Amino acid sequence: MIVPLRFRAGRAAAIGEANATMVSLRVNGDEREIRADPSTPLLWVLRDELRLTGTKFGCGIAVCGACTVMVGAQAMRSCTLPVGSLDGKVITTIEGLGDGNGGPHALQRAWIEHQVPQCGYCQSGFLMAAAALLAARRRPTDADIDAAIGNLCRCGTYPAMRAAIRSAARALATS
Amino acid sequence: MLIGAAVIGGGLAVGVGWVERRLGQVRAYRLPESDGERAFGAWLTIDRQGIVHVAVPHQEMGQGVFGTIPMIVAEELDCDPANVRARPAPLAAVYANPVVVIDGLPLPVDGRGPIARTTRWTADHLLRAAGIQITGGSTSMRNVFVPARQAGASARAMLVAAAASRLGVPASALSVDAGRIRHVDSGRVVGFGELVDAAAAIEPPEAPMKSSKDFRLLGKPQPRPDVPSKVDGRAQFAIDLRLDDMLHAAIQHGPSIGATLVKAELAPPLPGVVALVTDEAFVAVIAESHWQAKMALAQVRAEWDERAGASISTEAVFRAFAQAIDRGDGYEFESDGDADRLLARDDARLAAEYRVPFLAHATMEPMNCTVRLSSGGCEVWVGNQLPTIVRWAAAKAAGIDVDRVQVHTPMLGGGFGRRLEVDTVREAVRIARKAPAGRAVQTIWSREEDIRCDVFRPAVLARMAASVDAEGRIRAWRHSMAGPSVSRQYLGRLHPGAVTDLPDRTCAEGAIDLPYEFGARRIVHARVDAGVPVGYWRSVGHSYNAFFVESFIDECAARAKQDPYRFRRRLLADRRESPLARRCLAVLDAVAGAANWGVALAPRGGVRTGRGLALAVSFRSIVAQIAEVEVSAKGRIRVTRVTAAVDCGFAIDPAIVRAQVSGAILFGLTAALHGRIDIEAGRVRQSNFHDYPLIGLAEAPSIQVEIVPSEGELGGIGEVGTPGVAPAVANAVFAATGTRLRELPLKLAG
Repeated sequence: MIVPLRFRAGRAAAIGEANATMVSLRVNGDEREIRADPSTPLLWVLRDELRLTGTKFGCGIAVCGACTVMVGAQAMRSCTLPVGSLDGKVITTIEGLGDGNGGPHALQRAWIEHQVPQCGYCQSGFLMAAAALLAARRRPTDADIDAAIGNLCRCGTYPAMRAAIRSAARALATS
Repeated sequence: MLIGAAVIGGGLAVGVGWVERRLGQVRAYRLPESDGERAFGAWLTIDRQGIVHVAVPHQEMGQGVFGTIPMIVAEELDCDPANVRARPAPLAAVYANPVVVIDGLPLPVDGRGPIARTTRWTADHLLRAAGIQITGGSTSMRNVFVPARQAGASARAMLVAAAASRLGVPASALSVDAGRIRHVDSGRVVGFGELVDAAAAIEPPEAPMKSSKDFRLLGKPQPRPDVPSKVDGRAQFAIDLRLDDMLHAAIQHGPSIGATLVKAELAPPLPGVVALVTDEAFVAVIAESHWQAKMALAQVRAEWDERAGASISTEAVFRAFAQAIDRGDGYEFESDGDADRLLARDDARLAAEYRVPFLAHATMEPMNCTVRLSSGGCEVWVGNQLPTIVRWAAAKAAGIDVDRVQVHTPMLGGGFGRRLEVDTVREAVRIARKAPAGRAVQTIWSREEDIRCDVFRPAVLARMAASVDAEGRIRAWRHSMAGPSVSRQYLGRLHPGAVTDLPDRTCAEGAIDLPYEFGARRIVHARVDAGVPVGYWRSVGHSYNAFFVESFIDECAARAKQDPYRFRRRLLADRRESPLARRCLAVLDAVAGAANWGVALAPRGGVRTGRGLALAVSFRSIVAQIAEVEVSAKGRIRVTRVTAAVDCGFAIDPAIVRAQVSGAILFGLTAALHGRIDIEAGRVRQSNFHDYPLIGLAEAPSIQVEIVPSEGELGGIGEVGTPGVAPAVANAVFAATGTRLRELPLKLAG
């Protein structure tokens, strides 16, 4: 499927046809061909071109983590990630997070069990950061969690998140 | 809020007769019926499958209101809770929220005198006639609890009457359970779905509500319906709206407060750019994608006139505050006994100066609004806390009649008072006017715009004084402060004609109506506008007054050489005749027990530790909290644990009560440890989360929230955890180090 950015011709522009390149991405299992200026952040390609709006804009400077996605197995902040650097990469967004068999990820189940979200805006980013953590460390310590998840939540859902991450880790260990 | 005052004035001019006629229409409102559904008044429809659709007149911003209001209706209706669906209520006067406005009237909180009662009654009737829907002030449950229950009970009675007629038995021979009506003797059963046509035609009877001891759903945790969509990316916030022909805009306001645009140009034309929009106070670019708009905006050469804000600085603001207090300016909110004389006579009186900074809201979802102008009128999609006023503002900005504006309110990515403002809406409409007709424009603010162009929590300066006797009683208490009035500015932003010089109760809330026994007291607030835009920020006046009051109470306890818990107990016990003081005592005892107050903290290597206590009555609920801190050798403050006890009257959903109090504590902890907005030459120094940091996961303490059983009236819950945390932490730092911190954010010299 080809999803071009709707650029119009321009001259001496920071972005535009002159600079546009084709980038191939595998997003949540689907091959996507993106035509874009290579400096366009992945976040805006996901949200505006692919209409995957579960990945959120929060700060634009890679501090708050609302835009976190997985590139390969690594959690990354998509708001400062130029799409041009991602040719051929495998991207997982919140819409693609699951148990691999079409069901929800253990973290998503734990998030519901612990009723973690309040306003919910930051939660996709936290879930992606936590999923990358659990993929790397099956039994993370509190220090691992603190080091891996530097995202921000204004509603203050952190205590419930920590409990949910622990409970998801237990569920994964016994499954 | 002072909208009440304006509404009362306007209402009296219009006349009582109009109000009575209007209220009659308002109360008769019935929900529109879609296919197969029948309306049972303003709160619910039921379809032929027996699914109950509940209209929710308040906005969902994480407080679970889309779950709780349907459960309140379901409780009285005795339907199957699994068959209940929430749906945003239409904009209609029947869903007005007068409670939030009446709370802001300058009346004693429990004033029962004729003036207080008449004012409240008048405000209530006029506000219901005006019909403004507001989610704020921790009032949603207080606003809907009784009418939503009445609606459920009334619909149940209508269904029972229809079943009695269908089965040919008296209504008293029927029982209702999980949406099924059963004839007890014969065992015959008929479901709600089969009865809706007949039941909806019955004149709604007077139906008694359940006694709370018979509740089956309320008082127990219920799963929130918005949660599943918030863990898989499906939840739709306004920023997520995607319309096929939608354009995108990026916006930039002037670099300083009050700056006006002189000129702006964008050359050469850039890819995807549709229009450059220039306005008095902002410049914006409309483009085919948001990134194109943002990149083009960065290329705009704009010239601003910054003279209006040139003299505004944090330093100048606090200087003006100090001068106002020195002059003895201000409105006296409380005066009981001769506090000034008693203080003047006491050479050993305690006196201290406290200050808090301006703060930004920093909702995680940045400000955004989508507008489509067409021959059909104006459609607006915006996360907001007051859709009625959004509609008025959009109509005015678009230059069309109010009834041609349609407002869509998706879930809010945080509110905290920021989304009570309509600046975003007005600007987005003006931007959309420059787009090709019929094409929607989604305007998104950058985080930098969000922080710099906020309406801030006011900075405030307070001078506290107290006279403490040898037995540890406070003989005189004086709280003099200066700061801006949010309500005055807010009304002026809504309408220049709405500005009033009536005292703004929200400036003094948390300083007045205290539960403690003081021999004499005087509470004065001097309004100093300071030229900085200020807004309602989670817990409003309580957010600073609790810091002043509860820190200074601790200073009084230290002066009396008494334990801070015992000292507060005594001040409450001396007013034991007051029901509020008795409830406060129970909350104080509960938190002391839960946190093991009085049992020394285990020593930890290399750090000093301490516990601090604070009690705050806000939004008709009572919260006491105990913070435990570690202070490193270099003076770094780490909060390790917070224990809270809350009396909010009846806890409708205990899980939500705990989540809201816990979240509000962390909101307040950001302000206690990090939050500050500084202004120099009219420019806001902070701009994003790197220099306006929030508490993160690693820094968040463990939090325990105890719910204290109560016979008290229903209180608010969304904001009540915020006020007490800063003083609890400051008091803990004092316990750990002997240093009294009187300024937020709390910093120890290294």
